[in-house]
Amino acid sequence: MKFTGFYFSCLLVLFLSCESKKLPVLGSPDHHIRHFAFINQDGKNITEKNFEHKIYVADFFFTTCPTICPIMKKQMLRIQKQFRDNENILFLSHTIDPDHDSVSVLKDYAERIGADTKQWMFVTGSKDEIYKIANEDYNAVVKKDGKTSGGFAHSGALILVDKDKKVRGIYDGTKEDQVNQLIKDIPILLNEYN
Amino acid sequence: MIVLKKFKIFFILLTILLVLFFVSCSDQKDIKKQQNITTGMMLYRNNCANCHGKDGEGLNKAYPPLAGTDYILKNKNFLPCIIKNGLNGKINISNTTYDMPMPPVSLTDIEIAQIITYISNEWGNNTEITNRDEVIESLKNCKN
Repeated sequence: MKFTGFYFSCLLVLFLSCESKKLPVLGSPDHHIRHFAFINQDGKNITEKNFEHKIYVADFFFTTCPTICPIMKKQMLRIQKQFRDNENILFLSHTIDPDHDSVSVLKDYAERIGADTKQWMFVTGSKDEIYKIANEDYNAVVKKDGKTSGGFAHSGALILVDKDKKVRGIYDGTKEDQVNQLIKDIPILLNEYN
Repeated sequence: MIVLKKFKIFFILLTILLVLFFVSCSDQKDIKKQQNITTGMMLYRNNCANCHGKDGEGLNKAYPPLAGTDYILKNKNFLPCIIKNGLNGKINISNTTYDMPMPPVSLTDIEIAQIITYISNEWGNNTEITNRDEVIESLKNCKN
Protein backbone atom coordinates (compact mmCIF):
# COMPACT_ATOMS: atom_id res chain seq x y z
CA MET A 1 0.00 0.00 0.00
CA LYS A 2 2.72 2.39 1.05
CA PHE A 3 4.77 1.39 -1.92
CA THR A 4 1.91 2.03 -4.37
CA GLY A 5 1.42 5.51 -2.90
CA PHE A 6 5.09 6.27 -3.22
CA TYR A 7 5.15 4.88 -6.75
CA PHE A 8 2.31 7.09 -7.91
CA SER A 9 3.82 10.15 -6.22
CA CYS A 10 7.00 9.56 -8.20
CA LEU A 11 5.03 9.30 -11.42
CA LEU A 12 3.23 12.53 -10.58
CA VAL A 13 6.49 14.37 -9.92
CA LEU A 14 7.93 13.09 -13.20
CA PHE A 15 4.79 14.13 -15.06
CA LEU A 16 4.80 17.62 -13.57
CA SER A 17 8.45 18.17 -14.34
CA CYS A 18 7.84 17.13 -17.93
CA GLU A 19 5.16 19.84 -18.21
CA SER A 20 6.53 22.29 -20.82
CA LYS A 21 8.00 25.46 -19.43
CA LYS A 22 6.64 28.74 -20.77
CA LEU A 23 8.45 32.05 -20.95
CA PRO A 24 6.85 34.89 -19.01
CA VAL A 25 5.14 37.79 -20.77
CA LEU A 26 6.99 40.94 -19.73
CA GLY A 27 5.32 44.27 -19.13
CA SER A 28 1.62 44.98 -18.62
CA PRO A 29 -0.84 42.47 -20.16
CA ASP A 30 -1.51 44.58 -23.24
CA HIS A 31 2.09 45.75 -23.68
CA HIS A 32 3.35 45.01 -27.16
CA ILE A 33 5.65 46.38 -29.84
CA ARG A 34 3.79 49.09 -31.76
CA HIS A 35 3.58 49.59 -35.52
CA PHE A 36 6.92 50.61 -36.98
CA ALA A 37 8.29 51.63 -40.38
CA PHE A 38 12.03 51.51 -41.03
CA ILE A 39 14.39 50.93 -43.96
CA ASN A 40 16.74 47.97 -44.03
CA GLN A 41 20.28 47.52 -45.35
CA ASP A 42 18.95 46.76 -48.83
CA GLY A 43 16.84 49.91 -48.93
CA LYS A 44 13.58 47.99 -48.43
CA ASN A 45 10.74 49.27 -46.26
CA ILE A 46 10.37 47.15 -43.15
CA THR A 47 7.33 47.14 -40.89
CA GLU A 48 5.95 44.81 -38.24
CA LYS A 49 4.25 42.95 -41.10
CA ASN A 50 7.64 41.51 -42.07
CA PHE A 51 7.59 39.78 -38.70
CA GLU A 52 4.11 38.32 -38.96
CA HIS A 53 4.07 34.72 -37.75
CA LYS A 54 7.69 34.98 -36.64
CA ILE A 55 9.46 35.45 -33.36
CA TYR A 56 12.44 37.76 -33.38
CA VAL A 57 15.37 39.10 -31.39
CA ALA A 58 15.82 42.87 -31.45
CA ASP A 59 18.61 45.16 -30.35
CA PHE A 60 19.87 48.73 -30.68
CA PHE A 61 23.38 49.69 -31.71
CA PHE A 62 25.41 51.98 -33.93
CA THR A 63 28.21 51.04 -36.33
CA THR A 64 30.88 53.34 -34.85
CA CYS A 65 30.27 52.11 -31.32
CA PRO A 66 33.62 51.20 -29.72
CA THR A 67 32.45 49.50 -26.58
CA ILE A 68 29.52 47.13 -26.19
CA CYS A 69 28.23 46.82 -29.76
CA PRO A 70 31.00 44.58 -31.11
CA ILE A 71 30.37 42.19 -28.24
CA MET A 72 26.61 42.28 -28.83
CA LYS A 73 27.11 41.64 -32.54
CA LYS A 74 29.45 38.73 -31.84
CA GLN A 75 26.82 37.24 -29.57
CA MET A 76 24.06 37.86 -32.12
CA LEU A 77 26.17 36.04 -34.71
CA ARG A 78 26.44 33.15 -32.29
CA ILE A 79 22.66 33.10 -31.90
CA GLN A 80 22.11 33.33 -35.63
CA LYS A 81 24.48 30.43 -36.19
CA GLN A 82 22.33 28.28 -33.90
CA PHE A 83 19.08 29.11 -35.71
CA ARG A 84 20.29 29.77 -39.20
CA ASP A 85 17.96 27.35 -40.95
CA ASN A 86 14.93 28.14 -38.85
CA GLU A 87 12.47 30.25 -40.82
CA ASN A 88 10.38 30.98 -37.73
CA ILE A 89 12.91 33.36 -36.23
CA LEU A 90 14.31 36.67 -37.44
CA PHE A 91 16.77 39.22 -36.06
CA LEU A 92 16.29 42.99 -36.08
CA SER A 93 19.07 45.45 -35.28
CA HIS A 94 18.14 49.14 -35.16
CA THR A 95 20.70 51.89 -35.47
CA ILE A 96 20.47 54.64 -32.89
CA ASP A 97 22.69 56.88 -35.03
CA PRO A 98 20.65 57.20 -38.24
CA ASP A 99 22.54 60.40 -39.16
CA HIS A 100 25.69 58.36 -39.70
CA ASP A 101 24.36 54.87 -40.28
CA SER A 102 22.77 55.18 -43.70
CA VAL A 103 21.48 52.22 -45.70
CA SER A 104 24.83 51.75 -47.43
CA VAL A 105 26.77 52.00 -44.15
CA LEU A 106 24.51 49.37 -42.62
CA LYS A 107 24.88 47.12 -45.64
CA ASP A 108 28.67 47.34 -45.50
CA TYR A 109 28.64 46.73 -41.75
CA ALA A 110 26.35 43.72 -42.00
CA GLU A 111 28.53 42.17 -44.70
CA ARG A 112 31.73 42.82 -42.78
CA ILE A 113 30.58 41.22 -39.57
CA GLY A 114 29.29 38.22 -41.50
CA ALA A 115 25.56 38.50 -40.83
CA ASP A 116 23.06 36.57 -42.97
CA THR A 117 20.88 39.51 -43.94
CA LYS A 118 18.04 37.34 -45.23
CA GLN A 119 17.37 36.50 -41.61
CA TRP A 120 19.02 39.41 -39.79
CA MET A 121 17.99 42.92 -40.77
CA PHE A 122 19.77 46.16 -39.96
CA VAL A 123 17.41 49.11 -40.05
CA THR A 124 17.56 52.87 -40.00
CA GLY A 125 14.79 55.46 -39.96
CA SER A 126 13.47 58.41 -38.03
CA LYS A 127 15.55 59.01 -34.91
CA ASP A 128 12.43 59.93 -32.92
CA GLU A 129 10.65 56.77 -33.90
CA ILE A 130 13.64 54.57 -33.14
CA TYR A 131 14.30 56.13 -29.74
CA LYS A 132 10.64 56.02 -28.80
CA ILE A 133 10.16 52.38 -29.68
CA ALA A 134 13.48 51.48 -28.04
CA ASN A 135 12.68 53.14 -24.74
CA GLU A 136 8.93 52.62 -24.53
CA ASP A 137 8.34 49.26 -26.18
CA TYR A 138 11.59 47.32 -26.11
CA ASN A 139 12.84 48.80 -22.83
CA ALA A 140 16.33 49.04 -24.28
CA VAL A 141 17.32 52.41 -22.74
CA VAL A 142 18.74 54.53 -25.51
CA LYS A 143 19.87 58.14 -25.41
CA LYS A 144 22.31 60.59 -26.94
CA ASP A 145 25.13 61.17 -24.45
CA GLY A 146 28.14 63.34 -25.18
CA LYS A 147 30.04 61.92 -22.23
CA THR A 148 29.84 58.30 -23.33
CA SER A 149 32.49 56.87 -25.63
CA GLY A 150 30.93 56.97 -29.10
CA GLY A 151 28.33 59.56 -28.14
CA PHE A 152 25.35 57.33 -27.44
CA ALA A 153 24.44 55.49 -24.29
CA HIS A 154 22.43 52.34 -24.65
CA SER A 155 21.95 49.09 -22.87
CA GLY A 156 23.25 45.96 -24.53
CA ALA A 157 19.84 44.40 -24.29
CA LEU A 158 18.67 41.67 -26.65
CA ILE A 159 14.90 41.53 -26.61
CA LEU A 160 12.96 38.39 -27.47
CA VAL A 161 9.58 39.11 -29.09
CA ASP A 162 6.85 36.57 -29.80
CA LYS A 163 4.39 36.25 -32.69
CA ASP A 164 1.93 38.56 -30.94
CA LYS A 165 4.60 41.27 -30.60
CA LYS A 166 4.85 40.68 -26.87
CA VAL A 167 8.16 40.89 -25.05
CA ARG A 168 9.07 37.50 -23.64
CA GLY A 169 12.62 38.08 -22.48
CA ILE A 170 15.31 40.71 -22.12
CA TYR A 171 18.92 39.56 -22.02
CA ASP A 172 22.20 41.42 -21.61
CA GLY A 173 23.92 40.85 -24.94
CA THR A 174 27.34 41.52 -23.46
CA LYS A 175 27.10 38.63 -21.03
CA GLU A 176 27.75 35.17 -22.41
CA ASP A 177 25.67 33.36 -19.78
CA GLN A 178 22.63 35.51 -20.54
CA VAL A 179 23.02 34.90 -24.25
CA ASN A 180 23.28 31.17 -23.45
CA GLN A 181 19.95 31.51 -21.66
CA LEU A 182 18.44 33.27 -24.69
CA ILE A 183 19.64 30.43 -26.91
CA LYS A 184 17.86 28.00 -24.56
CA ASP A 185 14.70 30.12 -24.40
CA ILE A 186 14.21 30.46 -28.15
CA PRO A 187 13.19 26.81 -28.72
CA ILE A 188 10.92 27.04 -25.66
CA LEU A 189 9.14 30.01 -27.24
CA LEU A 190 8.99 28.35 -30.65
CA ASN A 191 7.49 25.30 -28.99
CA GLU A 192 4.48 27.34 -27.88
CA TYR A 193 3.37 27.46 -31.45
CA ASN A 194 3.50 23.75 -32.13
CA MET B 1 96.01 19.44 2.75
CA ILE B 2 93.91 21.83 4.79
CA VAL B 3 94.82 24.69 2.50
CA LEU B 4 93.67 22.68 -0.53
CA LYS B 5 90.36 21.87 1.16
CA LYS B 6 89.77 25.53 2.05
CA PHE B 7 90.52 26.53 -1.50
CA LYS B 8 88.01 23.95 -2.79
CA ILE B 9 85.29 25.35 -0.51
CA PHE B 10 86.12 28.92 -1.55
CA PHE B 11 86.03 27.93 -5.21
CA ILE B 12 82.65 26.21 -4.82
CA LEU B 13 81.18 29.21 -2.98
CA LEU B 14 82.52 31.57 -5.64
CA THR B 15 80.96 29.45 -8.39
CA ILE B 16 77.60 29.45 -6.60
CA LEU B 17 77.76 33.22 -6.13
CA LEU B 18 78.61 33.80 -9.78
CA VAL B 19 75.79 31.53 -10.97
CA LEU B 20 73.29 33.28 -8.69
CA PHE B 21 74.50 36.64 -9.92
CA PHE B 22 74.02 35.81 -13.59
CA VAL B 23 70.72 34.01 -13.06
CA SER B 24 69.25 36.86 -11.03
CA CYS B 25 70.44 39.47 -13.51
CA SER B 26 68.68 37.84 -16.45
CA ASP B 27 65.67 37.19 -14.25
CA GLN B 28 65.36 40.92 -13.58
CA LYS B 29 64.90 41.60 -17.27
CA ASP B 30 62.45 38.76 -17.64
CA ILE B 31 60.51 39.88 -14.59
CA LYS B 32 60.18 43.41 -15.95
CA LYS B 33 59.03 42.09 -19.31
CA GLN B 34 56.50 39.81 -17.64
CA GLN B 35 55.16 42.68 -15.54
CA ASN B 36 54.70 44.78 -18.64
CA ILE B 37 52.97 41.92 -20.44
CA THR B 38 50.58 41.40 -17.53
CA THR B 39 49.68 45.08 -17.29
CA GLY B 40 49.47 45.26 -21.07
CA MET B 41 47.06 42.31 -21.06
CA MET B 42 44.72 44.06 -18.63
CA LEU B 43 44.83 47.25 -20.67
CA TYR B 44 44.22 45.26 -23.84
CA ARG B 45 41.20 43.52 -22.31
CA ASN B 46 39.71 46.81 -21.17
CA ASN B 47 40.39 48.87 -24.29
CA CYS B 48 40.89 46.65 -27.28
CA ALA B 49 39.28 43.26 -26.75
CA ASN B 50 35.77 44.56 -27.51
CA CYS B 51 36.61 44.69 -31.18
CA HIS B 52 39.83 42.73 -31.59
CA GLY B 53 38.72 39.88 -29.36
CA LYS B 54 40.05 38.47 -26.12
CA ASP B 55 42.30 36.14 -28.11
CA GLY B 56 43.19 38.69 -30.77
CA GLU B 57 40.94 36.92 -33.24
CA GLY B 58 39.15 40.05 -34.55
CA LEU B 59 35.73 39.71 -36.15
CA ASN B 60 35.34 38.47 -39.72
CA LYS B 61 35.90 41.39 -42.10
CA ALA B 62 34.92 44.06 -39.58
CA TYR B 63 37.81 44.14 -37.08
CA PRO B 64 41.24 42.78 -38.02
CA PRO B 65 42.90 40.04 -35.99
CA LEU B 66 46.08 40.71 -34.07
CA ALA B 67 46.93 37.03 -33.77
CA GLY B 68 48.25 34.97 -36.64
CA THR B 69 49.52 37.96 -38.59
CA ASP B 70 52.99 39.43 -38.97
CA TYR B 71 51.55 42.96 -39.13
CA ILE B 72 52.28 43.63 -35.46
CA LEU B 73 55.97 42.81 -35.55
CA LYS B 74 56.47 44.40 -38.98
CA ASN B 75 54.81 47.68 -37.99
CA LYS B 76 55.82 48.15 -34.39
CA ASN B 77 56.81 51.78 -34.92
CA PHE B 78 53.44 52.62 -36.41
CA LEU B 79 51.37 50.96 -33.68
CA PRO B 80 51.52 53.90 -31.20
CA CYS B 81 50.04 56.16 -33.90
CA ILE B 82 47.20 53.75 -34.58
CA ILE B 83 46.36 53.35 -30.92
CA LYS B 84 46.58 57.04 -30.02
CA ASN B 85 45.03 58.58 -33.14
CA GLY B 86 42.83 55.82 -34.47
CA LEU B 87 42.93 54.69 -38.07
CA ASN B 88 40.84 55.52 -41.12
CA GLY B 89 41.00 54.07 -44.58
CA LYS B 90 41.82 50.66 -45.99
CA ILE B 91 44.29 48.34 -44.36
CA ASN B 92 45.31 44.92 -45.54
CA ILE B 93 45.90 42.22 -42.95
CA SER B 94 46.08 38.47 -43.56
CA ASN B 95 44.80 38.81 -47.13
CA THR B 96 41.69 40.72 -46.08
CA THR B 97 41.00 44.39 -46.65
CA TYR B 98 39.56 46.17 -43.63
CA ASP B 99 37.95 49.53 -44.03
CA MET B 100 36.09 50.36 -40.83
CA PRO B 101 37.36 53.34 -38.86
CA MET B 102 39.15 52.59 -35.62
CA PRO B 103 38.47 55.22 -32.95
CA PRO B 104 41.41 56.73 -31.04
CA VAL B 105 42.04 55.23 -27.62
CA SER B 106 42.74 57.58 -24.76
CA LEU B 107 45.81 56.12 -23.05
CA THR B 108 49.10 57.42 -21.65
CA ASP B 109 52.36 56.74 -23.46
CA ILE B 110 53.42 54.13 -20.94
CA GLU B 111 50.06 52.36 -21.26
CA ILE B 112 50.45 52.27 -25.03
CA ALA B 113 53.93 50.80 -24.55
CA GLN B 114 52.54 48.11 -22.27
CA ILE B 115 49.77 47.16 -24.69
CA ILE B 116 52.29 46.90 -27.52
CA THR B 117 54.58 44.78 -25.34
CA TYR B 118 51.62 42.48 -24.69
CA ILE B 119 50.38 42.10 -28.25
CA SER B 120 53.88 41.63 -29.60
CA ASN B 121 54.57 38.83 -27.14
CA GLU B 122 51.30 36.98 -27.23
CA TRP B 123 49.73 34.63 -29.76
CA GLY B 124 52.98 33.15 -30.95
CA ASN B 125 54.94 36.40 -31.11
CA ASN B 126 58.06 36.94 -29.07
CA THR B 127 60.03 40.13 -28.96
CA GLU B 128 61.59 42.75 -26.74
CA ILE B 129 59.77 45.07 -24.39
CA THR B 130 58.47 48.30 -25.90
CA ASN B 131 59.29 51.19 -23.66
CA ARG B 132 57.77 54.63 -23.20
CA ASP B 133 60.56 56.47 -25.00
CA GLU B 134 60.05 54.41 -28.13
CA VAL B 135 56.35 55.25 -28.07
CA ILE B 136 57.04 58.97 -27.65
CA GLU B 137 59.51 58.82 -30.55
CA SER B 138 57.03 56.97 -32.78
CA LEU B 139 54.26 59.44 -31.98
CA LYS B 140 56.40 62.29 -33.32
CA ASN B 141 56.28 60.69 -36.75
CA CYS B 142 52.58 59.90 -37.15
CA LYS B 143 51.36 60.65 -40.64
CA ASN B 144 47.93 62.22 -41.00
